Formats: sequence, structure tokens, C-alpha cells
Amino acid sequence: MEVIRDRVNLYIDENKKFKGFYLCICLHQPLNENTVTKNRLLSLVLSSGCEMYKTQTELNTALAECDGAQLSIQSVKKGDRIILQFLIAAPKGSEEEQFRILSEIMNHPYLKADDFAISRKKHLKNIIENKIADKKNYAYDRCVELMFEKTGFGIDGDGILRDLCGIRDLYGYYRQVYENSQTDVFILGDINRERAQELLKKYFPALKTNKLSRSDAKAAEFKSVVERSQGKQAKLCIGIDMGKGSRFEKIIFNELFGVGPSSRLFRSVREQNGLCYYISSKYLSLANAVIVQAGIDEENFEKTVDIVKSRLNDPPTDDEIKNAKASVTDTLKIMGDYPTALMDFYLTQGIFDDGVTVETAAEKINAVDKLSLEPKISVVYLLGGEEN
Amino acid sequence: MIVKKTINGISCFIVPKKGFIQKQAMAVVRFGSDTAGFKTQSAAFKIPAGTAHFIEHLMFSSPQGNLMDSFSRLGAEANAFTAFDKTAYYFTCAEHFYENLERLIKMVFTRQFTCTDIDAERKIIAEEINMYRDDARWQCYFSLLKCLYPGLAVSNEIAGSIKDINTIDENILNACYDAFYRPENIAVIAAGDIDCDKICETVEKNSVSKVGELPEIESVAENTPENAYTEKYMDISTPFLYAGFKENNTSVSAENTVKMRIMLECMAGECSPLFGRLLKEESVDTPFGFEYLKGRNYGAGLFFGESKAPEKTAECILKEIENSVKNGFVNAEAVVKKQRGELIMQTESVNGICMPIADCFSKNIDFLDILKLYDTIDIDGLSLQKPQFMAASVVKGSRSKQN
Repeated sequence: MEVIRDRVNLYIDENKKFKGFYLCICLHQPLNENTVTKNRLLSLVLSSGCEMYKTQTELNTALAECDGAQLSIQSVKKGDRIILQFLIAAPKGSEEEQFRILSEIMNHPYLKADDFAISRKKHLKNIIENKIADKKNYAYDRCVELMFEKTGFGIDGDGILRDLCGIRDLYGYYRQVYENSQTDVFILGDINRERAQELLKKYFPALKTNKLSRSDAKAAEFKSVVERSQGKQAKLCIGIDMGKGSRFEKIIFNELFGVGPSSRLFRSVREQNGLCYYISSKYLSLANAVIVQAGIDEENFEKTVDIVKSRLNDPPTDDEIKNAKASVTDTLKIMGDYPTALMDFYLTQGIFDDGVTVETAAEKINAVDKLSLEPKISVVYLLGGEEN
Repeated sequence: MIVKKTINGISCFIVPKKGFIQKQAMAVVRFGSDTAGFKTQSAAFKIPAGTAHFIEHLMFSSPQGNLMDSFSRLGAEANAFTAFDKTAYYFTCAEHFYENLERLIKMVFTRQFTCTDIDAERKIIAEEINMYRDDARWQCYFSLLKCLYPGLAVSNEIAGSIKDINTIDENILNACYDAFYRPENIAVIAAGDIDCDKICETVEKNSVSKVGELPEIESVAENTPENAYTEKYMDISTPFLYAGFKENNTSVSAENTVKMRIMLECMAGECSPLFGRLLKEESVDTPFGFEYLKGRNYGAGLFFGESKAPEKTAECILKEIENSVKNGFVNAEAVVKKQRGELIMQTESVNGICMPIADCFSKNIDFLDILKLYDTIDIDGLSLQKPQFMAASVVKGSRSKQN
């Protein structure tokens, strides 16, 4: 992936092996109470149409006619940033049409019409209220919220219900996001650099980037929280503060701890003790945290937490480190086959802003011989069923 | 795509993808949750719900421990799934492809179910069933299938119920394995920068010889559907609905599959006038999903999604189906372009290509025909026969019931 830092941060992967062409524009804002709900609402409103395609079905038909182009406009939470992400992808051959459709959506939005925003506000209200329907993700979001209370890292990326009603002048907010964000543009597929830059200039002449600084996450002191829902299965989430150390050591730790069937958690909790169907961990590099997720019978709550704790503190063996390194480097290599995974990787590394590429990340992983980490549990969260 | 058959009868579908790092191989067995029973020359067997899925879990057990772990040690990520008409085992990797393929084939052709493993796996499957009991969409789906196909195995949840899995024992597991895990009932699908001949050689060398005839599948007499509507209350806020119809056409063909997918999307997809109308009325916020569910003894067109007015929305969908029978379809040209493009994008990755080929194998249709049909389909010839039966299933929030 070539990176050109000009009026925007442009990432280009000229790659003939992809059958598709991908264009993605990311507008970064700090995640806080003032931005999060508006950003999420914007993602819904902008997905619904624009000046040229005034209804969702008109827009969808235009995308269908463009060889079935797929459009995704999302408000993505990454660390303590909220990123308005526009992605359009289609089989190669209609690159300019993809640029044109995305420019209609981004440059000529239909935001001044209030009825759009009103109906999308109701939609967002439903999304927020219905989060409980997906208990696994609900528990995950609550755990992260408890771990980083009152900071951007802890605010739910879908927004805050109480702020929704009072949102006015969404167009004004959008203009400000458009003009003042850190802006990353990703172009992947069978296209050369000059042509990509030419199309970007033609369709997005006013797009520019601003510098956004990064802050470190601070995890809460230990707390254990049990909440109730009407579910049959209890959802356990454990938030681990990864403390000091390099993020490459932490990636390796997470891999051996909770990624896949050979991980410590899968083997101990599922295979040896039969306590769950799923258990895994995820490393949030920007938040310096590892989050464990499992679906369990509530009566096994303490037993499961004890096993997770004991496996957390066991020093990794050389064999575990070796296998985890091999697995992580394979994942990095495979990333080159998946345009959206590549974009996501560079979107995150762009926030760290330390020049790490897929290739140098693999080198850094391979250079790790031992792990000197002191992970510490910050939050134990259980979403239990109804109390008897 | 290269298609070959090994001497012992295994179908091999190989998709070379030059320049890709990831490789995948999938072994697909034509045996899933929709089979209720079978007959061999010596005996007849009734299959409890959840049996195919139970076998899927047990295949990874071995005296040396969980076999998923042995794939991990060779840098591969292995997994499996059970569907209505198939069980599939697969791995993805960057390195050691042929060694992993050898493991996969040996695993699928080795039966070693022990009572200890069966009891241990029962606990894990029970937790999986509990997880699905909280899934509103899953519950809504099977409630609809119970309306459309009362008494047929396809209406049972794939993992069965806790009661079902408690009746599954070593005898039925062994009998099903021996009946269906046979070379001629299995396909191996592989994609990546790989060598076709070497794959076929590895598959043949590590599988068993052809043994006897495949069993006769028990044909179950279907009960006449009576319930056209069902509802449940769960812990959700926005109601969820499924609405659909049983088709009259019983043939399974690539052409019928493509036509049905196009017609379903024309009726209620994201470009359809119906979706536009419901969006305007604010009964829905997001487009409906749709599915053409097809198997040996069933065929249905299904729509699903969230709606604030689920009964009314379901009624609109069912009316639209009736209208389409009478008046045909609008927007078909755009829908053909859309689905063609989506198929190209889906099959772009190693991960995405094996699944649609597996679907075609389990239905005995040619995947290449599907691709060709999107270029040659005559949209003026699209017509939907009057459905046999239509029904809707709704899941509403239990909090709203209490209030």
C-alpha cells in the first residue's frame, strides 16, 4: 500500500488480482458527547439519499445499475475517535461511476430537508433501544463503557439516546466534519496512481485533512458488575487493562490467550470444562485493552472467571509464543487478499501514526522473543437472565 | 473452476486463484438437519433432530484431543457448520495447505465417537442451543418454517432442542455416519494458489474406498399447513418478522434458483416499490433480507427484517407476492445487474467462493451455470406460480407485552 500525504492522506493499492474496485473515504472526529450521536445520525441520513437520488430506492437503483455497487456509510468507533466512513465497492469497470455516485452523496447531500433527519432520528432511536436484542454485543459494549467511563474510549459508538432529540442543524455539523476532519482516502484495485489522483481531484476537489492528536486510554480500577435481562444464556465480558509494553507483544498475548481453538481460553473453558460454546478475546490496540467474551450458564459464572484469571497470569511458554507469532504473521499476509481488511489495518495504523505497514508489523511480531506484560483485570461484567 | 471426480467417487471443485496468499479447502457431506430417517438393506432409522449437527461437533474429537488444535499447529484455522442439506468441514491457511488437506480428509473419513466425547460435547451443544434461544431472528425463522412445513425435519432447529440432544446416542450417530459419510456423498472444494492434481491425489489417498450403496432417505408425509401466522415475545425492542410462501414448483435447477432469487428481490428487495412505500410510511427502516430455501422436499421464498408494524408489514409482503403472481415484476433488469455484481464480489475472495459452490453441490446443481445464467437470463420470462401456502412469523418485545 502506497501512502501519499498531500491535501488528504491517500492510501493506494494498485492491484490487478482483485475483481473489485474499492473507494473508501474516512473522516475522523474526536469521539465525545458532542460528536457521537450526530455522527451516527449522519451515517443514516447520508445513506438514505442525496440531491440527485432523493429516495433510498432511487439511490439503491443507481447502485444496482452501477454493476451492483455496494455502498456502506458507517460511523465507526476506533479508540477515542468516531470515523464517518464511506465505502463504495463494485466489480472493476465502473471506477469513475463509483467516484461520481459517492461524490453525489458526499458533496450534494439532502441534509437541509428536515423530514429526512426526523425519520432517521426515529430509526436511530430504535437502533439504540434495540441493542439489547443482541446480548453478546450489548454485553461487550457495556463492558467497554464501564472500563473507560466518561472518556471517548467508553462512549458507545451508536450514540446517546438523550441527545438525539435535541440535534439541530445536522447540515452545519456535516460541513464542519467535512472541512475539519483528519481525512483518509483508500483506493484499491486495478487502477494506477495517476488515474486515482485525477479522479479524486475531479470528484472531491474540496476534500482536505487536518491533524488530529491521539490520547492514551486509562482503564478504571477493578469492578465487577452484574446486570439483568430476559435472556436464557448469561453473557460474560471481562475487560483487561494491558498496561505497559509494545502493542506487538500484546497482539501475540491476545492470540495465544483467546484467539481460535488452540487458545488458552478455548481449551480451558470450553474443551476441558465444557462451560461454554463460545469464548474468545479481542485486542483493542488503541484502547490498550483485551476484552474476553463468553456465553455461559450463570451458575458457572465464578468458576469461569476463576479459570480466565488463572490463565491470564500463567507465564506464556516458548511454544505458545512461537505458535501465536506464526498465526499472527499468517493473518498479516492473508490481509493482502482482503481489501476491506487492508483498509481497516491502515486506518488503525494511521491513528498510531508511527509508519507501521503490514510488512513492518510482521517484522516486529517476529522480533518478539518473550512477553514482559502485566495484564490486569479492570472489569468483570455479567449480563444475566431474570433473577429467580 | 476445475471439476474432477476421484476414483472412489469424491467430487472435487477447484478454484485456482493466482497471487492469493490464503487457501481454503472444504469437505461437504450431503447430510444435514432436513433428513428425518433412512433405510439400509438391513434396518430403518429415525433420526432425532440435531443429529447431523452433533456429528459435526464430534468429528473434531480424537484420542489425541481436539483436532481443531492440530490444524492450528499447522497454521490453519479450522471450523465446520451444519445446514439443512449439508455438513461442511473446512480450514483456511497461508502455509502447509496439503498437510492440512490431508488432516481434513482423514478427519472426515474417520469415525471415532466415544461415550465420553459424546457426553462432553452434549454440554457444549446445550450452551449453543441456549445461545440460539436468545436469538430473535433465529426463533422467528423456525417459527415460520413450522407454519410452512409442519412435521418436516426442515422445521426443526439445526442443533435440535435440549430434549432432542439427550436422546442422541452412539448407535444413531454411528448409523448416520456410516450411511452418509461416504465418498460419493462428499465433495471437496478448494480455492487459492494451489495445484489441482496434487489436491485430487491427496483427497484420494486419504479417503476410504467406495462402500455399498447410499441409503434410501425416508420420505415423510407432510402435514397440511394450517397456521398462517405465529407470534412470540422476546427481549427485543423492535419487532422482527419473517414472511414467505411455499412454491409450487418442486424442481431443483440452476435456472429455477437464479429466477427465484431475482423474483424475490424484485418483490421486496431494496430497489422495490414495496420497500420504498413501507419506508415512506415509516413501518420499516432497513431493507428486507430474502432467502430462497430449497431442498429435497421443500422450496420456499422468505423475506425477513425489522418492522415497527410487523403484522401490517407481513400482510403487505404477502399481498405483494400475490400481486407478482398476477402482474409480474418491475425493476428486474437492475436486480439482475445487482445480483450479478454481488456474486462477482462475493467470489472475489478465497473465503467467499467455497460456500456458493458447496450450496450447489448439496442441491446437485452446477455453480458455473449460475454464473452463466446471470448473463443470459430472459427477464421477460420471469413468472411466479401461485404459491401453495403463505405464512408470517413475528417476534415482539416482551417488555411491550408486560406494559
